[in-house]
Amino acid sequence: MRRRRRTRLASFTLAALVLPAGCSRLPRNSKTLFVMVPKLVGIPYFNSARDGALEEAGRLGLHFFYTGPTAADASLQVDVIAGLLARHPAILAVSCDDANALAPVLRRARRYGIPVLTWDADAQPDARDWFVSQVEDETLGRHVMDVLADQLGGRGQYAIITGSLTASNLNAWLYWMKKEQEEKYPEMELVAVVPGNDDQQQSFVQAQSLLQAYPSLRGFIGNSSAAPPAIARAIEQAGLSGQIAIAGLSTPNLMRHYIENKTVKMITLWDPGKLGRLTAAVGAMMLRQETPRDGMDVPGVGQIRVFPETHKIVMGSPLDFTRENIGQYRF
Amino acid sequence: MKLRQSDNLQPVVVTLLVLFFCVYAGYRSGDFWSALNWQLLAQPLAEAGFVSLGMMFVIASGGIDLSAGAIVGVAAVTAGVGAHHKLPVPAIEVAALIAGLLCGAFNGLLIGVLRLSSILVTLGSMILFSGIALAISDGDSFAGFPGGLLWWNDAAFFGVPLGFLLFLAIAVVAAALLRYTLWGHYVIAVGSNRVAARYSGYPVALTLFGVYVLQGLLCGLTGILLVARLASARADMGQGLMLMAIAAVVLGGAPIVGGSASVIATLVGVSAFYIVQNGLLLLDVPPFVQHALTSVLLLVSVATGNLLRGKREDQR
Repeated sequence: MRRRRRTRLASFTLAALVLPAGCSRLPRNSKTLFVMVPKLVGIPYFNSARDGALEEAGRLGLHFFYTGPTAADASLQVDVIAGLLARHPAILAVSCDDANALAPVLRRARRYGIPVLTWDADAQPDARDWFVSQVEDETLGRHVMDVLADQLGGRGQYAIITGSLTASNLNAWLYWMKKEQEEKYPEMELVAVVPGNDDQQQSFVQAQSLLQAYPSLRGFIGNSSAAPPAIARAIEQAGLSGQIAIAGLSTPNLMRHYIENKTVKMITLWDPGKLGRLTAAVGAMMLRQETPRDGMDVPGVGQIRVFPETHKIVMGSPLDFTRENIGQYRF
Repeated sequence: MKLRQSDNLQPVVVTLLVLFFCVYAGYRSGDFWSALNWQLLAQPLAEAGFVSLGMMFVIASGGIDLSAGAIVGVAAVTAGVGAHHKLPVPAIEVAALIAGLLCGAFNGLLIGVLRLSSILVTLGSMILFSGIALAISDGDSFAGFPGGLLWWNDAAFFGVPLGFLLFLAIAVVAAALLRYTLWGHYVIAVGSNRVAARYSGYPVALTLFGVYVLQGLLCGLTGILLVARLASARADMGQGLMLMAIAAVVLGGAPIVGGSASVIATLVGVSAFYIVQNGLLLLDVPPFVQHALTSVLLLVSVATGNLLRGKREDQR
């Protein structure tokens, strides 16, 4: 009997402790609610973007809410966004898993009067107000080629391992890489462009066979984040570290090992934290009914480029990760 | 005071839990009871509902269908190919339904006629179907669907999305099939004891074939609605729906070993999932915690349902 009373007392105390915490009404902050949706939650790249946006949104007085699907699946992302529409956020910022599949729900959001931003990956242009892009295809492609040419002294054979041959963003970068080489480094020769299908194992096998097929190969470009670490591993295994140059696009986490052991000199991407900051800043501008201007200076981001006819905002230059700075980045 | 063994009280338990949750969510979030929220909720719920109804028949017949999501993908991609070749809207819809039906018939042949294990067959066909869908679409997404097909997405009757009304109508048909037709009776009999059903002279092969064909057809329908809502078609579109449907049927209290089915219980099961997930989203609950809480709902309901029924697994 005593015991039962004690249990009852304990459960009442527990309830008394839990209830106030779970029962406060959520403020309806839809006038300043900035909702940010990544392709998926829980990966370092998007966590980094979230942290940047959170900081900037806090500084600008926005209520920041970050949520998304737990897997990169366009239909899951659409369901999450549909659920968020009922809250009528002041700004909706989405990194689209699929430009086509996200368009209807974003169009619907705009129909309800919610300003829509896309960031990192765009939707169909008529489904959003502004696209906040990390870096222009041309700048990125030319820059990666410059990084490689610089290591090769502007001469020699090189090969490119890309993601899939159908990915439109990769193909755009590829186009500018080739163009830069043709225009500025005529003594370099592209021997092959092969797909690694965004898979480290496949890229590794491709790199190995390229090394065998072209004994005088002097450089590689990895044009998808899975490719550069795979190329570096193939070169390391072949005992050719330091003799073959690597450039390309990948994340610091994937490349840390190879950059620290000097197999790779530098790898290129952009700073997702900055991209998050800029997205929040553009969201705040839209709330204040301001139009972003070309060349304006965004605190913590730098000068941005604005293309009013395509409603596109470009963050700026790519970022190179080297032995000196890679320790600062965790994504 | 002992409850009758056959009583399935689990839908009641789930309904009460969900109602309690709704009151709580409605109190904490001012947006939960808005008409817009329920309109937006009804559309994905209807899509998952079709697959769940099909899965209910499959599970009642003593089987399981792991390929349901892949069939949705095949149907969606078929619609994409149809739109690409500028077919008229009804032709696109019929093509997607037929694609689903053929996939279901493939499963049905192997499971019903050749008497292979449903879990093995559908595990294989899941990979086969998603492979086919990927091969047709080359991993890319189709866009550029005609307005007539996308009409489904915005069509509503007094504010209720048409897809959801269609789902309710098909649920009524499913209930009638289960209750008033000989086939419905066969499905339950085959699920309870396949050997006995065979010795009683029931057409076991035909019954099972019908079950999987129906599931394929419903998955095809889901594919069409998904394509209309997303205005695009991808091979991986139905990915999440298969586990969702199995969970919904089980949440409704149907025994996973088969032999019993209730349309109401399935409706309760699938709605519970979507309502709770939507509520948690509006309550600012982080995505991974949402998953955890939803699975707690599943486990608590199954446990309570079993306790109320007065039977535990090891007593059977």
